[in-house]
Amino acid sequence: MSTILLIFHGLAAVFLIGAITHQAASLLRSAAPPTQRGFVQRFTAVRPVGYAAAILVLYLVTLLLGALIYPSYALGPRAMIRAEWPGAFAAFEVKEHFAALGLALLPVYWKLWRPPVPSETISARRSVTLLLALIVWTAFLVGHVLNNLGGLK
Amino acid sequence: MTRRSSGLFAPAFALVYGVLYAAKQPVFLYYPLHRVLALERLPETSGPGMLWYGWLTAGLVAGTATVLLVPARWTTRVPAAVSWLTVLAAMLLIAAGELHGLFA
Repeated sequence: MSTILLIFHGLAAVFLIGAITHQAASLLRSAAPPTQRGFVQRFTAVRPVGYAAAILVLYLVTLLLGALIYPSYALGPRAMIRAEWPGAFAAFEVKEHFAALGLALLPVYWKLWRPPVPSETISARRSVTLLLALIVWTAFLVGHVLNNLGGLK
Repeated sequence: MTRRSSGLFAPAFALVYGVLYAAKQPVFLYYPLHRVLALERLPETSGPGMLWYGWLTAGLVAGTATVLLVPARWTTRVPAAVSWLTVLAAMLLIAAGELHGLFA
């Protein structure tokens, strides 16, 4: 059962990282003339407002699935990883706390992205979105590495 | 109906979570070996106790209570930067704590 939940956790995280990377990149883009549009410009040329609800739901689903499989990790590979890879163990602890703190950001994230989106809140919107993207990327990479080291079986 | 503002949810959540983390103070612990919740640490025979669920719950309760109890008119001037800066501060505190534990 843990393996199935872990797969869904990973799939939700993939959708989440894709959505929030698109949204965050769109906030960082510089206006390029149409003639210079390459992959990066096309990647960032999305309507970021349209991603907010999906990101909110995906964050909650990913966190919930992670919380459900966390006990299997605590009873399973946690002790071995702590002994053999203390750096990875510490990184995972950080990831779990970051994920929890990301939950704290969701109400203000939703408030800033709920239409109509005023242009005067762009600075706050950019900061909150980039911080949430940092949390998602950290959690994704650490989770991936830890699973490769000897995660849930 | 009273208007509510979510502006102080993140600061309240991050403050409570960060303080509980720094103090390593359990709110409750979950012992997955026997699937029990406990308000204090149980003997080692009970298996590993998990603090994370308690801290997460405490953060949610603190954030929600702040939103419900503090009138919106008091929070309208609180800039959104307070939300992400308090969360970022808690993240840095926790990362430093884990790094310190790693090299201690």
